[in-house]
Amino acid sequence: MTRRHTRLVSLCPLLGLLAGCAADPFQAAANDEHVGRWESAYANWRLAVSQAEAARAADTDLAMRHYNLGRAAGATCRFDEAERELLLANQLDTSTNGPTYMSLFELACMAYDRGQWAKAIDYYERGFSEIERIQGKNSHHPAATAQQVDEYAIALRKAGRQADADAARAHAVELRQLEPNARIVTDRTPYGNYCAPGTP
Amino acid sequence: MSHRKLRLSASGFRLPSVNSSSRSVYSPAMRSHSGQRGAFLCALLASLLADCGMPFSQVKYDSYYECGLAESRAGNRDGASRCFSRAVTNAQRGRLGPESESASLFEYAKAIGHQCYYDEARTSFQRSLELEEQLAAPRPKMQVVVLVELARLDLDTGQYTEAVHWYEREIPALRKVAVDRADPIAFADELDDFATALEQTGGGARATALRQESAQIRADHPGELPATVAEHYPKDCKKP
Repeated sequence: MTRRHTRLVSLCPLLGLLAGCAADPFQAAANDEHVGRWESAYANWRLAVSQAEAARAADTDLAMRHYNLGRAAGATCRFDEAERELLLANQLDTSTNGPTYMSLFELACMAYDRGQWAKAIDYYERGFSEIERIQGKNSHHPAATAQQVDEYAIALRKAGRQADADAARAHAVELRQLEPNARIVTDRTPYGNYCAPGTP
Repeated sequence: MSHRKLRLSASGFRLPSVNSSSRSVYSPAMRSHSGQRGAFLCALLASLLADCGMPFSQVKYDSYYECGLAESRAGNRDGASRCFSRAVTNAQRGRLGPESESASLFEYAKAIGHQCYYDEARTSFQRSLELEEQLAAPRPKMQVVVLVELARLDLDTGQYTEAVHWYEREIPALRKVAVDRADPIAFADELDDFATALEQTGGGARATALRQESAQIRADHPGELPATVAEHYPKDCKKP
C-alpha cells in the first residue's frame, strides 16, 4: 500500500463520522416535526424540496415533499405559500395517480383553523369525493373518515348550515358503527400555531 | 373489550413512496476496481461509523431504554422502572445530553409513579421538564407529555392546588400542538380532569366552563373513542 493510500485510509474514520453526521434535510425535517420544531422543519423541508428538484426526482417524490413543505409553511403561518405548496402536491398527485385526498384534507384543515368555513367545506367535499373515487363507496377506514366528517360537520354548523351539519354528524355516527372499537391516531398539523417572526 | 388503533393516512405527515430517490453508500464500481480497494474499505468503515461513532454508553442507554419500553408494554412496572433507572444512569454518566436524560427520567417517573413512589416520580418529572425547558432547540411535544403526567399525578394523589398549576400550563400546550383536534376525546378528558382539580380548589365557575367545552367536543364527535387512553395513577396502592 502506498503512502498516499495509507493516508487515505487513515482519514476513513473521519469520513465515516462525517457521513453519519451529515444532516439529511428530509430526515431532519421529519425529526423536527416529530418533536414540534416547526420553524426548523419548514427550513429543512424547503431544502428537501430544492434538493429533489435539482436531482430531477420523480413526481411522486416531489408530491410528497411539496405536501410536507405546505404543512410546515401552514404551521408557521406562511399561509399563502402553504396553499400553493399543497395545491402543487395535489396537481402532482393527480398526474401520478397519487393520494390526492391528502392535500385536500390538509387544505381543509388549514382553512378550518383559520375560520374560513366556506373554503374548508369546499376542500372537505373535494377530499371526500377523491376518497370515494380512489377507495370506492366504502372507505377503507370508515372510523378515520368519520373524524374528517366530524370536522366537516362543525364547519357546516359554523357556516350556519345547521341541517347539513346534522346530516353530516349522522353520517359520522354511521361510519363509526362500521368500526365500533377503532381508536384513531392522527398527526394533526398545528396550522397557525407556530408563527414565524414577521408573519401575520 | 379490545380496541383497534388505526393510523389515519388521510392527513398528517407523509412518507416517501417506495421508489423515492434514496441513495446508497456503495456502488458496484467501487468493488470491481482493484485500485480502489482503499476507497471500498473506506466506504465500509464509513457505513460502520454511520452512527457518528456512537459511544458505548449510548448503546447501553438505548438497550436499557428499549428494555423499559418492552417491560411497560408487558405491564411489568417493576421491570420497567429498573430498566429506565439504568437508562437514566447511563445518560448521566455517559453525558449523553439533556434529551436522553429527560426522556429516560420521564419514563422512569411514570413507571415508579404507578408503583406508588409518588414523591420520587414527581421529582423526576420536574427534573425532566427542567431539562426540556433548557434545551437549545425545545421539543414542545415532549414538554406537553411531561406536563400531562405532572398534572395527572398531582390530581390522582389529591394535590389539587399543584394539579391546577400544571393544568394551567398543560391545556394551552395541548392546544398548541393541536391535540384538541388530533385526539379530541382525550383532550375532553383532560378538560374534565382540570375541572375536577378546579372544583376542589374553589374554581367552580371556571370548572363549569371547562365541562361545557368538553361536553361540546363530545357532542361534535359522536361515538368517537380517545386515541390515547389516560393511565391514571393508583390511589390506594402499596409500594412493592
